[in-house]
Amino acid sequence: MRRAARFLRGGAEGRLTGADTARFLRRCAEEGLLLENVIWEEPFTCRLTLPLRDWEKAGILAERCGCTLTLIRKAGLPLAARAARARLFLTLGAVLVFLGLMASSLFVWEIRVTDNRSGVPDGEILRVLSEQGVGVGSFWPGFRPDLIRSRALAALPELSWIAVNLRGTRGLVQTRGRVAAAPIRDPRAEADVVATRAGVITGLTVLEGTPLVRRGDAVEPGQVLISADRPAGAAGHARRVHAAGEVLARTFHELSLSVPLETAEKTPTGRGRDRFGLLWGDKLYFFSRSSGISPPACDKILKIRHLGIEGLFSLPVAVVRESLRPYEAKPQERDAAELRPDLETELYERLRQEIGEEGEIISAFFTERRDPGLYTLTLRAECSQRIDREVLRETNP
Amino acid sequence: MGMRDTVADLAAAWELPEETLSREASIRLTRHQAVAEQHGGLLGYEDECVELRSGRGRVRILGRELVLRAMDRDTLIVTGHISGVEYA
Repeated sequence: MRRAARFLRGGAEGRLTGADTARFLRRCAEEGLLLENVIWEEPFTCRLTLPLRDWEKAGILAERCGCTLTLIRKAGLPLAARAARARLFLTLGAVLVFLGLMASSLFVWEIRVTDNRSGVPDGEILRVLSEQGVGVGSFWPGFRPDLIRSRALAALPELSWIAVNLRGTRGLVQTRGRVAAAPIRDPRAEADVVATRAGVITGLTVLEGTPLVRRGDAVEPGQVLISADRPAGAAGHARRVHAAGEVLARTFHELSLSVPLETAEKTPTGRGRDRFGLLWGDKLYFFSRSSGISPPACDKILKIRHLGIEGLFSLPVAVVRESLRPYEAKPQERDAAELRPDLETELYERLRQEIGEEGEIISAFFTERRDPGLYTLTLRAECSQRIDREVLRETNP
Repeated sequence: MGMRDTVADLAAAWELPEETLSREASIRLTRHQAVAEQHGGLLGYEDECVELRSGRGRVRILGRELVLRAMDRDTLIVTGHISGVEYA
């Protein structure tokens, strides 16, 4: 408390040297000067603190008492205020910067999608939010979260949930995709079971309907395997049902991939050039007047550095560095043997997608072909898989 | 019977603190601090003794590592290891 009072009124710390320091101290007290922290340093020397305004008076008293009073340092609010007056423009600038920072912290200066668990692209989400008034330069105290969420979800039906979290002046968007509902199977609708691809039937299980094929038959894609028509018999009159069953078949697959054996590799030529600019909100200003159109065979790299504290606070200004790096495209031969493992992996992946999770690969082999500048790898496989699919009569009359 | 005794008797008779009727210094002591009010001036100041004028007499505050923490016309604050106060 005493220290705070001393700072507010300002204090001067000095060193008193003399034969009769007690006399000086007594005279100071008689004159009403407030002495503080009188500490002996040596037998005839002590350190003391006086109010700033009494310093000159204390000097005169010290001289009268045959002592020497030397200044060690001065500190306190009056000195700071005097220094601020001397640097008026600097102080004003600091105050303006502080006010500017306070005002700018009420706006969103950076917005990005940090957690997107939906099939909707980030850009599309940001565009819809921007239409709701949530974008760079938005006044965040005016946000109405419920309204933003309901409008954004109405505009993006693929989303089930969206949130905009504010961290200082940064808006972080999180989304979750909608889980598609399974199609409802109507058991009263008339439907056939048809083949999804060509094959030889190896197993047939009929749950409803009339089978039109037998084990060992070869079928074509789209061919009806189990019919919805149920003929009249002992059970009653002819009628149409929703056919159902499982049809297992041996299928044959042929998949090919081709890659060029000659590619162009970029080789840097020369230093290129850089130019700097500022990104204010969503507007970009470059310092130089040179054209931003890049010449052919030239990489254009844009680096944007937002000013502020990473993860906490972002200013409306970002420094932009645009680099143009010229290159020369040199043709380069690729070795087919190096390409083959990647192609095999890719072809197997595609085959597994075609036969589904329940399908099995019975046998498979690769053949390769080399044309001028082109390498082709072909996978031929024999598989066992389900080929049945229910098709409603209305769509397949 | 001196003047000092008369003032002391009067203060006792009227049930008043003695320092209100005289120029004697009032000293309030705690373990590490002595606050002297209405002192008549500093007569000496060392690490082990601070001497004050009190009315017509003197008061010595004795101890170790004594520091004159603050002093103005009326009040004087001494901190340190205070061992005693002597009146002379």
